[in-house]
Amino acid sequence: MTPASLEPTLGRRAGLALCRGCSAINRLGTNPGCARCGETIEARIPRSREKTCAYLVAAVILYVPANMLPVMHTSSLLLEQDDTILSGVLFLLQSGSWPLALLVFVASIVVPLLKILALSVLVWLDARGSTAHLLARTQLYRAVEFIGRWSLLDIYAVTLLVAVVRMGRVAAIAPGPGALAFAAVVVLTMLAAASLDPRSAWDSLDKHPHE
Amino acid sequence: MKAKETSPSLLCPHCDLLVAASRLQADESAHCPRCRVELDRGRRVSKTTVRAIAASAVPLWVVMNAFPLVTLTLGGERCDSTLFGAALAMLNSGMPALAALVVLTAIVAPAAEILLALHILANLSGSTRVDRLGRVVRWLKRIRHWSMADVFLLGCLVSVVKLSHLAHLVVGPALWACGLLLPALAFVTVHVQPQRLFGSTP
Repeated sequence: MTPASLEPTLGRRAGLALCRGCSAINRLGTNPGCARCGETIEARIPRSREKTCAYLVAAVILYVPANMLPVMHTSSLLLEQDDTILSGVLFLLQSGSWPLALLVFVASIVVPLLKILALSVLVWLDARGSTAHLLARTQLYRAVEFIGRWSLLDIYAVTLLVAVVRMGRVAAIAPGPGALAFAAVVVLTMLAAASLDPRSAWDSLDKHPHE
Repeated sequence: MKAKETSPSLLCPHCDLLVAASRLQADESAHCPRCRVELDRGRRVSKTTVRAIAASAVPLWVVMNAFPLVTLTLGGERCDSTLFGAALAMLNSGMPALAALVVLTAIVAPAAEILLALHILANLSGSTRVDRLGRVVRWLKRIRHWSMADVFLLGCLVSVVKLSHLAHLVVGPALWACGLLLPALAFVTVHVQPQRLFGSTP
């Protein structure tokens, strides 16, 4: 990736660290806080892998009720119905709006699953000190960071339905326990991604300079 | 803070590589040679422009919050809801955590994002030292992560489509305002960035 003769200069080796709050370059070990904004200065996110793992475990556990329990309950004169995330997608598909069905399917089912898998693989490779596919790993990290928030889409959709459809016995929609679990999964995976330090993958290269 | 001995350089946030900074043309951008993340852009927009667009976000946010998102007519009955009303409906349905999530991500975070950016822009030209803005900059960066007006709009559109099969539905001013707020917020996010405003030397 980098020519062997040209040793890359790393911030940490040069005694410099980027402030997480304001992106100022600070000298390590002089002040505990950033000279500009006061944020704590650390070369790497402390206990990054442990934090990521903890959030991931919690997300995996909640992933089950998020998909099994109903996210909303519809009651009207004609029917009483519980909807899970998947049955909501099927409803959109049957009502003929397949692009929207695809959008919700990707945002609510594919993305959370892939995010959990991707973060697990990234943490695992980091922990092993692997130097393989560093560029691809960093790009995967960026994709996870970028896409994570879009999974909250279904929560907002349910919120608006609950707020607008309240006509007593004619028609009413209530949120189900699945919505809470699902929102928790999304927030937990966002926290997991935010506590993963992408620089620690590249640190493995520093420890094995001949690979 | 007095002696700035190092030549201007950039530190890659994703792989910790120290990269020499060069003066960029308006259509250029600097990328990390190792992990390819964008480090800097040459394009600078005048502060007046950024300020104007950030200020335009304020009335859009107000409309987004003051007017109904959608109005539904079913069997002679009309129902509508504002953004805060929607969060309140979640609270009344026994979901306080979700109500709080909606209030924070769709109402408070976008508002804070706009106000903090305006505060930074207003104090840039004056004699205010950068480090007095530091705390504000830090908060802005934290809040941006949880500001989700864009996701909210798409979620609303999903439920609009779901409902349009069942009842007569009119999209309210708040949803249109939200749609207009997004490009303004995106512009402010790109142009009010600590590194681009203050550089990398503290």
